[in-house]
Amino acid sequence: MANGTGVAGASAATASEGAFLEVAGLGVTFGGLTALSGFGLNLEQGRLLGIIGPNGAGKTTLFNLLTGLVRPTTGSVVLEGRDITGAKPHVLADAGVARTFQNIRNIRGLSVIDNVKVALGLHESPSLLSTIFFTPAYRSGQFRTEQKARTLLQLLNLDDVRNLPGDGLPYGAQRRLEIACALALEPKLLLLDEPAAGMNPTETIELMELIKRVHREFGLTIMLIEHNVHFIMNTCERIQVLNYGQLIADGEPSYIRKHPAVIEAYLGAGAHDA
Amino acid sequence: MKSIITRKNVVLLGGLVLLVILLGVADATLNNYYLRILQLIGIYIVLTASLNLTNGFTGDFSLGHAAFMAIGGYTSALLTMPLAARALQLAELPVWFQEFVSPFPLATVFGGILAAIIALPVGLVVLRLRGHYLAVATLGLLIIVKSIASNWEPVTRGARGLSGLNAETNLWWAFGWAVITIFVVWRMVHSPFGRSMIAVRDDSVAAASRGVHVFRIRLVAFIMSAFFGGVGGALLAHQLTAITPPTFSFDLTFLIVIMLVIGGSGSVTGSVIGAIIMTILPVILRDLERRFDLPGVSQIIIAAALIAFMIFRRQGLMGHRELHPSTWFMKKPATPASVDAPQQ
Ligand SMILES: Nc1ncnc2c1ncn2[C@@H]1O[C@H](COP(=O)(O)OP(=O)(O)OP(=O)(O)O)[C@@H](O)[C@H]1O
Ligand SMILES: [Mg+2]
Repeated sequence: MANGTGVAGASAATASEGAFLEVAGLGVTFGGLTALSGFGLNLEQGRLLGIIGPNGAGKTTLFNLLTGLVRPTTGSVVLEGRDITGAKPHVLADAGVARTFQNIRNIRGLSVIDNVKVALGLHESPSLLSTIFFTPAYRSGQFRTEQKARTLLQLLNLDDVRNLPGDGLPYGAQRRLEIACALALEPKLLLLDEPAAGMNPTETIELMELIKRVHREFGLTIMLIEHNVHFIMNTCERIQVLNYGQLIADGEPSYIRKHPAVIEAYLGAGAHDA
Repeated sequence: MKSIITRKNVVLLGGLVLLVILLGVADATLNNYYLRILQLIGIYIVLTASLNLTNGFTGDFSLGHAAFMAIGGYTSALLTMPLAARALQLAELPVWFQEFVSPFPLATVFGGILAAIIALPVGLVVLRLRGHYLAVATLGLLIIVKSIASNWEPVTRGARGLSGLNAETNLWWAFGWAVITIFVVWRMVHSPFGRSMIAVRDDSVAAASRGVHVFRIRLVAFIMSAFFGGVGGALLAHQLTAITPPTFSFDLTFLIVIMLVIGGSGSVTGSVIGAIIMTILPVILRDLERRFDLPGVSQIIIAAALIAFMIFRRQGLMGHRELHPSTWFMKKPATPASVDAPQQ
């Protein structure tokens, strides 16, 4: 294993010098509880990485650390050579890191399309004066925002419900709205936290296709947390396994499937939830 | 690009013309007592609609509006005070200032600007807090401002206050500023700013993760709100023609908050409706109270109504909905941002 991420049993996925995303020794403790410790990852651009692990393993915590919602106690995160350890969420969004939430967090007081427009505001934010005076530049900016929002909503099959409140959609649609908002940030790194949770099998298959398509078409680097093992084995080229805040395995799906520690911690017990 | 002549704009223009005609008729026919009540409605619309930026749309519950009113009130009073009154009241100030009398509109804007300028450092400090803590901190701001007004004798004349101002606030200024406030607040709310404000209010963590600079949005809302608070204070000062520290009381701050809550915080038209109702209702009730010789009953009725309101319609009359010109003629609400989202 190059660059020594300190992962026992790591194989496959060797990292090149100055990888796209370099995480080293990342950890956080809440009070006495170590939610994540010594997490390391070298990820090249354009990869699709899966993250699995039992409940409470620290998967969401990892995303919270990478998106600035939680500040790490130890370790560092470097994105494209830039140290982004402990940066604020909106700074990280600007740096190209976007995420979805496991517990859906669309904005209740905004319509579906306005939810997307909030995220689009990262790249199209007019001045207060041009806003109040409704200048031509402001209006053309808002016109562009509208077009972009519609394109994204069409991609995620949400265009017909764009005027409904952000939380007034069926479960699967709300998850897609989360993805639309994340994509609206035009990220380089997309973190998806259990995007298929609560979806029916048809929706799950559609989502799987969508993630693959977004990965291809946008050339995105994606990290995907998912309990649905079938889903993750079929979608990801590399998988990391967390357990009690520790990285216990890292490699290709075929390697993970046979890894004894993984089978014991995770696959053996809960492999039937697909 | 869409044409300027849309149905919505025609309705708005028609409404403005109607307002001007009504104000003209009122100005010509009503006696002073009723004119002052109408002026107060205009002033309270300015105050309530602007407080809505923080309390309603951004979710920062401020109790400091009267503090910004005081800043605007004192500033504008110092600027417009007639020469004769200055010589008596501001003798301790530099000579150049004693001779400088600013026109009322300029003084009003200046009062707003100074309130906004002061809101910047204040916001940088108090907006570290949220929820109850922020409410208490903004109340603290009001205490500080009042204390300065009570003790900075050479400028504010302490407890004696500033008097002898010209009664410059008329229907036109009161409602002119009301229209400007509604316009600015409406434009802000229905823009990327407004979307970000609502996102911050409903889920600041999600907003931040979607690229919203949460603190900046809250600060902008706080400063803009303070500007119109200052303007409202200037208007009030020039209606009363005399101000003292108690003019900008806790009661006043709470009254504006109540207007907002009754109308529906999170709705621009709601704040207007709240301001109108809570200006007129006490007047009517006081009138009845006198007629039936039941002193104090009007206060009790209003308080009981408030309690009932909070129990049965906590979201206020309008909730997050808007009374929107286009909805008077069309079926679908034109502004998605104003869809009244159900609780669950
Ligand atoms: N902000 C926090 N404060 C305190 N403890 C936390 C916090 N966030 C997470 N934890 C704890 O850290 C541990 C890891 O939680 P995390 O949410 O990362 O797990 P997870 O792998 O995402 O689990 P799941 O599959 O259930 O989503 C849990 O024990 C959790 O209770
Ligand atoms: Mg989780």
